[in-house]
Amino acid sequence: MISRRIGTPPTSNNGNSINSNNSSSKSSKESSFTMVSSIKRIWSNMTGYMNSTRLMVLVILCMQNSMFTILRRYSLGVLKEEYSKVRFLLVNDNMLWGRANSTFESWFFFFPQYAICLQFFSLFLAPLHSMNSCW
Amino acid sequence: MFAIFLAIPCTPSQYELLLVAEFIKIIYSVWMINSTVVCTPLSGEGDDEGVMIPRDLSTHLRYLVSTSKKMVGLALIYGAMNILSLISLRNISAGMFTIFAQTKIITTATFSTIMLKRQYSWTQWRALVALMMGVLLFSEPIWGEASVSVENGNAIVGTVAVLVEVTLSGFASIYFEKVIKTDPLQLGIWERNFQLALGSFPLYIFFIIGNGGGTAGFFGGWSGMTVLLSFLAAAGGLLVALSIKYGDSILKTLATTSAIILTGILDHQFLDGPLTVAMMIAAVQVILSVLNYTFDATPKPISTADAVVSSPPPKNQNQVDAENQETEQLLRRV
Repeated sequence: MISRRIGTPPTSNNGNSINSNNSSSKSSKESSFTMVSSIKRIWSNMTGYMNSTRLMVLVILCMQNSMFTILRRYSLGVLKEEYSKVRFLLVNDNMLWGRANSTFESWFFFFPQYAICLQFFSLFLAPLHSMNSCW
Repeated sequence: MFAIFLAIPCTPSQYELLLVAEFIKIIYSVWMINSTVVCTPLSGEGDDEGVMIPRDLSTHLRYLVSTSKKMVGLALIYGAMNILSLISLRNISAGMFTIFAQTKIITTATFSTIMLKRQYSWTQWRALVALMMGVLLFSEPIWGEASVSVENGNAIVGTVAVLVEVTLSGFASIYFEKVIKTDPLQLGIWERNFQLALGSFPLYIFFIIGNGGGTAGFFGGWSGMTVLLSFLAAAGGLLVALSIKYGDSILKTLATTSAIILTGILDHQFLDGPLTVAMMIAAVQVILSVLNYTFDATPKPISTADAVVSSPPPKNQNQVDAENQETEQLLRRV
């Protein structure tokens, strides 16, 4: 698909009309030129918004989240490592990572800080566990 | 060799893992703070007024501790969020919790509009809602795991708890961004990380002691995997702060949300996790939503936080003098 320059009307040699060789070669050159310039413009818009540092940080954050989730699953689901005996965490671990073959759990990492906050849950387990009947 | 290193079974405490992660964050932040030139204004009169003098590290760290009130408050908010999640998961099913939890994307954007005066186009709002739906669809395999409420649970309490939790989450994200970008103290990202880690540190120690050191006792059962996870957890905290500094809370949410695709693929590839057709469709939906949000061409005004970040930092007197001298030397040469 050949793009045309924005703001210019479609040329007469677009479509099915038959033209001379010179005009068609000129047209194809112009079309390729406008396509390249359009791509350049889109790329500059993208890179303008998403500069290299920002993009790099976001990509690394994405990879870190994935790696953390996968390794936690491997640790808890395959190696059967135990991180806590508190009931709530076991429920979560079972739900999130423990059943590696049947469940998918990484929804927990959609939200901000959850790469850390998921484990942060366990901070409050001890006092709440003792107040189990209250909830 | 690496596989053997990772495969040693162990039973470390969850709290210890996080404590070590916070410790790594503190060490790294202090190292980064030390590597930057720390200056303080000289409280003199006349010609000395406004001149910046170097400050030693210990003095600066003491200053950071004394001004860490906001970050300690943020750590407490995170704690409250976790308690609320706990209450919610005791009263409603994981599937219901997941559905409600996705509204964090929207609450974050809403607080961004309220607190940072950012304006999002309709295209971006639509993209965020579409993203939320895509993520929900991607987590479809866990929907049918349990009924709406758990045994002896109160569905209303659980729902209210998760809604308050998602509201707090949106607030905390934007508050952190606001503190980093618009706080009058203008502390750097490493200084804020230092304060946040410092605020979390005593809590972990308290709970390690309260929990009796976990199943393996105090600092027992550590493996290569645990160490690796600690480093990853520390890196996660630092990366979240960096992504907020160089981007914003919404972009950070987009990055963490996009991670679900990569996680799903890796999970399926290495851990035999599910990857259904519905999940693949949801993955495409998530990617398209992220692209729609990111490359929305609607012109929008610059918010307060963005204006602060994009404007260059004020120069101190020494810098101005040095620049003037350089200019004079250049003129003399000409």
